[in-house]
Amino acid sequence: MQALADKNEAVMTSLVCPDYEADALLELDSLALVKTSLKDVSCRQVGTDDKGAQVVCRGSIEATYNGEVQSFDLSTRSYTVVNDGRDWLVCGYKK
Amino acid sequence: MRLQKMSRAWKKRLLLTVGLVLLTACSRAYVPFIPAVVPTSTVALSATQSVQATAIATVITLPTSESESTLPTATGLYPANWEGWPVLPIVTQHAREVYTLGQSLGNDPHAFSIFGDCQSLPEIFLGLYATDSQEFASLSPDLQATANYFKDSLNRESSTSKGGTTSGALLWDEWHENKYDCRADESPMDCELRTHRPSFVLIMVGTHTEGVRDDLYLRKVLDALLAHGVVPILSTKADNREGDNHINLETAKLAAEYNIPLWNFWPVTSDLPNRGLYTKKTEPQLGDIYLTDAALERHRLSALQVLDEVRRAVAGN
Repeated sequence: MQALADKNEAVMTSLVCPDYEADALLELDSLALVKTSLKDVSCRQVGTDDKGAQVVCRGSIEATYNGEVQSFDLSTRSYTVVNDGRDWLVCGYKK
Repeated sequence: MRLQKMSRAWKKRLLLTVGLVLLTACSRAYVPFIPAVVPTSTVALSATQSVQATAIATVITLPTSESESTLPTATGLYPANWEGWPVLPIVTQHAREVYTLGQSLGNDPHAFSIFGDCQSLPEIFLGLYATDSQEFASLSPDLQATANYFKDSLNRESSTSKGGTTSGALLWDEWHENKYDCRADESPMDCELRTHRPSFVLIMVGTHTEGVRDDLYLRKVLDALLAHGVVPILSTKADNREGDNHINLETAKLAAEYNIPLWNFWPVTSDLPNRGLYTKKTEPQLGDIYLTDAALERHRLSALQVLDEVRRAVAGN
């Protein structure tokens, strides 16, 4: 999420599963023209299933354009993350 | 385009003639004036005119070369020469076919949508023709008719026309923030197509982005619009922030490849100081991409002219 807010494509794509990469990049590209920051973000694991660990977060992505702020609520998302042996990779989320 | 203008002139002449005939036919016997043109195509009258006008419909004709039913199959324009393309699009038969498909799917012929960024917001763009009587009064009768035709779209706010909108954002299901009656599981584009049922979409995103995937996203947008029977109208931008004008070139290439209308806005501001562009103090990193008041005035007038041109061409009038 920090990589998304920083619009660091290289870092972000290194931390997502290949199947989720196109969706992650769409999110990144959608925010290309706005200034972004994370606000009060914290995450915790709430369970596991056959796809991986389920993680929910609080907080939001704040996007500012020309003084106008849009807030993208992260608490509506339930992320699936997997450990590839080196890092925890985000493989998608449900709403 | 010239043919269409000629055709429109003929249409007015025809309507005047038919109108005179109908008015007179209600009161007394009348021998219609038959225009001295080569009779090659019969004029289609509206349903309300058909009963009274049956007797004369077959004798009022237009020359084939000026018939409104004919559109070119291709524009004959080369993307490499996009700077010289006309401002108003050359509307092809393909656009009419898309429009016709859309009508069969239930699209609203009086509705257009805007896929655009902050320069497409109603308060500085077409919305002024709905809210400012002086702006409306400044229009020609033809354009006033088009403004009235699209009156419910001019001042409409939507999830696809917001500050900072990119081609990717049109496809991202969070960009609408669950506003504008949009559902959490649909993209702004899908939301707009569902809620407004446009027949036309002015595409004005990407005016100052250079995203490597913009082409991919725009193609997805165009594919979806065409599948929904919506006529996409691409546009060039007034700025050359990228330095080599490749964004406008790519846009022209897309228009040619998809055989869809292109509004060439680039030349519209060419005689204004600094091409009608300035840098916003709040967004200095973006440079000269914002339109001055003079450029904005041309922007909305030119857009309305484009909508006028396209809607009349695809509808055959």
